[in-house]
Amino acid sequence: MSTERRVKPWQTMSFYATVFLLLFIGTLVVASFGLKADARVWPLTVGIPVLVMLVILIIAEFNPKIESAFEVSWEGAAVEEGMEEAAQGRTRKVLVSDIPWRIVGIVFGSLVLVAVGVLVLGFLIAPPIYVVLFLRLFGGASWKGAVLLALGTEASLYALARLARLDLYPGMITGAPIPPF
Amino acid sequence: MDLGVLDVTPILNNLALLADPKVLGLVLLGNLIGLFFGVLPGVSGGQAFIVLLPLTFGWPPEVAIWFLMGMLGATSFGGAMSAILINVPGDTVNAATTFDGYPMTQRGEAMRALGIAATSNILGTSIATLVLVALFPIMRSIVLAFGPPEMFWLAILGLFMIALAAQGSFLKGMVGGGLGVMLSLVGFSSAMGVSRYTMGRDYLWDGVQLVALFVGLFAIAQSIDFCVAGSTVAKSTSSFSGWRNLFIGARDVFIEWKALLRSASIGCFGGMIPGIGATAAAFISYAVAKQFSNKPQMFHQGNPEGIIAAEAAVNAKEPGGLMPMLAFGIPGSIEAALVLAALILHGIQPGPFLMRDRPAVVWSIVLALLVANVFGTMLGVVMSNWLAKLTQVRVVYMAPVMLVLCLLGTYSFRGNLWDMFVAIIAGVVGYTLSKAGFSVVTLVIGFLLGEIAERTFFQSMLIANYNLGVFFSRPPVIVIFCLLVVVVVGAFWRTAQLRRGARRLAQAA
Repeated sequence: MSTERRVKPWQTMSFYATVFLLLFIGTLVVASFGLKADARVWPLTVGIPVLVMLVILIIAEFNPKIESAFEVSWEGAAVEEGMEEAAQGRTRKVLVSDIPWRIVGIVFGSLVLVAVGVLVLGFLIAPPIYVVLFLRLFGGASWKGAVLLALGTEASLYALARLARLDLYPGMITGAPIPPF
Repeated sequence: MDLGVLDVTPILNNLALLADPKVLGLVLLGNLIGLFFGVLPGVSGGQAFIVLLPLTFGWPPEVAIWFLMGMLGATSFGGAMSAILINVPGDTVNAATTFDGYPMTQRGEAMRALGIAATSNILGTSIATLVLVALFPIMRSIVLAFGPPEMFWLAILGLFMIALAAQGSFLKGMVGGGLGVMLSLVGFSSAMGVSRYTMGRDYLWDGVQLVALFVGLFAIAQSIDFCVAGSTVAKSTSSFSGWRNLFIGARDVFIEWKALLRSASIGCFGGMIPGIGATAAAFISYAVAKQFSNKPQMFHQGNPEGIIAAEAAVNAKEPGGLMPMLAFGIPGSIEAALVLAALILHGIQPGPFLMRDRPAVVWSIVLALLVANVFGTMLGVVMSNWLAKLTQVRVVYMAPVMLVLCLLGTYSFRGNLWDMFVAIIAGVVGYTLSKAGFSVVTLVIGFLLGEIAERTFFQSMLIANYNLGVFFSRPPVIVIFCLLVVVVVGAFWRTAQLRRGARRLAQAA
């Protein structure tokens, strides 16, 4: 979902991702000054050029011509398109408003819930409940279909665990210890 | 029987083993297990190998090797199948296959893509096996020519080539790679004797786990995309099913024979150098194929050359990885390390005298790798028509099942629940970064190559007594450095040429 209309830099995903990466890498670089000399050589050797590139990218968010100067393309058509957009100040970037945040939130949130569910209830209980609820509430599947797929998933989990001789975590509910973090 | 320089007796004896239905059955069973593990994201054939290795205690070594190689021989194609059909590579080595495999599936050409992958699989392994056999007499000098300085520049070359091959901005590609390198620094460094960026947490002592990162960035991020898209994977069902398309794919490989030979060479050569993973070899091969192609603009859009480049390199790497293991007892890859473990457990010591003292074992490894790859790929092909129908299932039905199996795959690596949370975070970050134009592929490659680059950098400095000249003085180093300069300058030069051409056209209009 991209658009060719004129947009402000702070309306694009690229802007926020670049800012996030700038802060993240910047934190790692600053933290590396607390390490001994040998240990900070590589973080600084990699981190500082990456920070420079990120600063260029932030500037490029406000001036597309800068970014197009660093684009490498094998397609003549892409080069023409990039040049045209840079000249007219347009962007083909994904906008923040283009992302279906509701769906991303549902998938991410449900994954966190199933992971917490595994922690509490164990691998054999939480995943089938998750599959049924996901298919019913989000996928629009029937109860029969959802339950069948959940049972199939459970059987696959069990078979894989047996084959790989994997001890599936039974859940805090059974008194199993929480792994150290 | 002795045919001059080559004693064919051990070869014939090993082939005769295959006539035993029990041995043949074990090879096929190994193939089936390898395919199954290969298809699942985050669960690799290597794990199956490790788990089933103890079962082979007490078996004759040659029989055990046939069974175990049967597993390894099929995992790559299993991973390629999921890469092509659902854009989720079964293992990191198949990530490059998604670039052109999945777009072909979306066009309804899944069977053709699988045919290309299967043929590249078989031919890539075959070519590299022939090279392995031909190089037996001189393999020692080849491996010894590459030391830490050469490895360092190869890692840097890999990073730059991936950034160039990835779609979009080169700067964003390099930032992605740099981010991957920084993530690889998390944890305790045995070379430095310090822990970095662990925040005092026990979990981070071992660093960010590759499996969790990989499953999150590819599988979970793809699942989010599936849920957003909502329909089926295949947007078109024309020329979708049938063996005919499989053979069309096979024919594509023979048409692009130059790409096949080039990619197999890169994979085989990369496999000989300990530390260069199959993933890096696949991406380097892909980038080179794009540079040499007559239709570079078709890459990332379902170009058969892209699949050939990735799959031939990955599969050629296995015989290549066996070379240092057979010559020195030093594994050139993770898979070779597993084979090494298997040999030692069966009372066989790899090294310079293995070929002299136990030629039957050497030939069983070489033949098993080749034959198991062929059998495993053919088994996968037989199942592929059925598996291709998965692309017509509504993706929102596949997503929760895939996500659960991803979480299991992440957990299964070392039985640590917190890896699942890392995978989930990586999934959301990966999805967001990809929408922002950053390539998660360069991130993964940076993560893989970052550790290699740092380790070989410090090894080189120790060897040369902290003299930086070591990175510019040895002939192989100079060759690799010049190649790096040519590749980067060449890419920008080509883009500048295209821009000049576009400006001329605009002025003429």
